[in-house]
Amino acid sequence: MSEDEIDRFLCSRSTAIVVAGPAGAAPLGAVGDFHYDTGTVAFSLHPADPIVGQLGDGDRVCCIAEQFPSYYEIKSVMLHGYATRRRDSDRGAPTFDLDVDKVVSFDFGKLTSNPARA
Amino acid sequence: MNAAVDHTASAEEAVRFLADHPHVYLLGRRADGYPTGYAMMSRAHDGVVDFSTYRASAKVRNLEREGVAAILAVSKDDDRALWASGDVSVHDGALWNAERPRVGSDATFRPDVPQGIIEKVADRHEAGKRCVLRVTLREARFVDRPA
Repeated sequence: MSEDEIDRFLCSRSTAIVVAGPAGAAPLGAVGDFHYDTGTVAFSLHPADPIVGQLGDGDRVCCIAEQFPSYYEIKSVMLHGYATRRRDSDRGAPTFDLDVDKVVSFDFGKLTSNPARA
Repeated sequence: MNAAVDHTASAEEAVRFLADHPHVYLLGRRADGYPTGYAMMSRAHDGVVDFSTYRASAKVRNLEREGVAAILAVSKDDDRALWASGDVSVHDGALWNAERPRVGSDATFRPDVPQGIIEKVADRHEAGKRCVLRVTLREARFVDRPA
């Protein structure tokens, strides 16, 4: 996906899969609320989610935004970066800003097997 | 509310939830150390969760290196999600086709996948290009979404 396509897609997402946890163990995963505004990324988690207690400032996180209404409409953007907890989110759902380091994306609609491309 | 986020699930509960919600995220770690997730279709049965993937993929290399993986299954019907983890093993691709009649037909397993893609995947399992990536479950719990 191009940068514009990724930007449009992320603007349409309100939920993300959040993956985190220390090395040497299976990663933790959670469903979070996704916040995106012109390149600024953040996510919120349930206050008692095990990830919240494990995630310190500067820890590595993967945030996945995806849609899959049908096979050729599958789109996904994976954002890898560093998390920083917002201090003003202590009373509500814990919210973390994500300093994005790497982006991986795919769009099954672009597969050569997609009959709609013909 | 906060105290209710972590609910241990039995192996049977985990397999049942995964079988009902086969679109999952397979969680592992990349070679550069980043945690990551792969959106995949799964087959859960007998305490294990199987995935079809290319033998030469980075995903297989990453999960073999770590030896452990986690799975996150999300329900569209309610607010629950299931997190589970276990040991990773890699198996011959023919296992995927051999187990299909016992652990579910393609009609119910992959409702959105075109038939041509299903047949191509089956061929690549027989040819050894695809393998079965298996997670043997050790731990599982239900987790809640943000309120």
